[in-house]
Amino acid sequence: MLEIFSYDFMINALIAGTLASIAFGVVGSYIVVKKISYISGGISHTAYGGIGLGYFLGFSPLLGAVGFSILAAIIIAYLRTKRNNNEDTIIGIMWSLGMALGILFISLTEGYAPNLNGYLFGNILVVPTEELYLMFVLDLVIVLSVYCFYDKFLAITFDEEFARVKGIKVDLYYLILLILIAFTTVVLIKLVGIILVIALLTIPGAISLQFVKSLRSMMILSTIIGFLFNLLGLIISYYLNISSGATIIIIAVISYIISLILKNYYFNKIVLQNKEASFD
Amino acid sequence: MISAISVKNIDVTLSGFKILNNINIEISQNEFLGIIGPNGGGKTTLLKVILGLLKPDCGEVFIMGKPIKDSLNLLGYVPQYNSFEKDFPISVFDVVKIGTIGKSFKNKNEVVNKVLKQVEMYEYKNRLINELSGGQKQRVLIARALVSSPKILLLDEPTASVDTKNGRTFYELLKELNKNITIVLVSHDIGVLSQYVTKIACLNKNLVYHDSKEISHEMLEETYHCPVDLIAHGVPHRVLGEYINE
Repeated sequence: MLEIFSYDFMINALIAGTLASIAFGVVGSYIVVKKISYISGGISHTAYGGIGLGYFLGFSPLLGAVGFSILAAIIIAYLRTKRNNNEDTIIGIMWSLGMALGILFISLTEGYAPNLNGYLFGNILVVPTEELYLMFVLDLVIVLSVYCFYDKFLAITFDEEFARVKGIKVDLYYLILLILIAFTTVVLIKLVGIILVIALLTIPGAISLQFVKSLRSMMILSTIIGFLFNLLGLIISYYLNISSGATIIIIAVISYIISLILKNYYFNKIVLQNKEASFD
Repeated sequence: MISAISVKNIDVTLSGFKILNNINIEISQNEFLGIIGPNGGGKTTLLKVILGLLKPDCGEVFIMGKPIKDSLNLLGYVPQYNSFEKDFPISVFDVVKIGTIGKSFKNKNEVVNKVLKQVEMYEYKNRLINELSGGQKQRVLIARALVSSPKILLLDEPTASVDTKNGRTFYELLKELNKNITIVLVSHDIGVLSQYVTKIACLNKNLVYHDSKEISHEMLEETYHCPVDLIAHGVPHRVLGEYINE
């Protein structure tokens, strides 16, 4: 079965999957514990506008995605400091505006209209080597930032108000966190596409959350789980010749359901046994 | 001696509603002040102004004679026990360790262990915070505030319902801490509070404060605008009367 990895594009796909797992394992953990998947959805969908702009003006669509998603992160972080009640609405508007701009730019692009399915739904089998470099750099930024700001991120995600009282620049660190989400989104676009990004940002984290006792171990477990999803998705989609993005997501959702069942039945049983044992 | 907290002419308006109206209070060092008042009376808002979380329309706050931004490390904040993210994977020990941010220690872990023992939560240090009861969480949050050795402790609606099995009760713990620390506590629960505080103020948009721990009928009526409520809260002036006659 290992002969599928004798192709260069398969090696690239495997590297892309590994790089992505690190990004969403680490950043996804914050998204799950802070419950900001809607915000993350807003950031990732706005990125589509940047992809369109990249095609329209003739520069790398992924760089366009980086620009647009960072812009979305800045707007959302700014809205939060204003504490007005329409944050939710504005994120929703940005979400669709980004998609609309993307479609508009692409229809304005002269000549051959590119097939954008790859950006919407992902295709891990066609990751060019230069995009791997971009993913690697973004990964490095994510891991280094979390390494440097771990305590601060922990404080602001666990109890924002207390962090403020301790003199931590909450708004600044929140902005950094949202920008890391923007980077992660870009890393994930090639893998599962804009529309499916949310699933990979949340499901590995949601599964690990049930079994861990610290944010650090949650990040590590999420990364491992995400890597396995990618590997399995890659192999299955290759042999069955189906969409890699969709396959990865479906594997993730099924795994999440299994983890819930395991948690509810298996772990409750252990607790019950322990309780009975203590009565003996 | 300078006041621990000095609040001068504070007005706060939120979404067009006046929440605090011309609040003035001097809180002396090592005082144990209870601020009581109905829900929505502005108790939490006043705490937030003192903590620098909320900018008032006008007026000033001084902590040990200094403006708030220069005195953050003097304040220990204990929010309501359910104020943090639910399901967060974090141990009791790590929660308390967050309180050490912004201050340098020789040995952070040792200090964290010490305060955990002080609030009688040391044996729970490896447990997830969300596995604990409300009263236990409260003690952990007190430890998180204490770990930076504050001069003033501010508590928002603490729950006194659940306590450790053989230890001191929640209020006895506070009384013990009060030997070295000024304590300000806001609550709508007049009855329990009155036995432990050294001063009481009533807050319902306006602050009624007579620099004593005696609550008069008039103070409560002015605050609650409802004499029936007064009886429902346990006839506090009788309880206090007994205490003062001792």
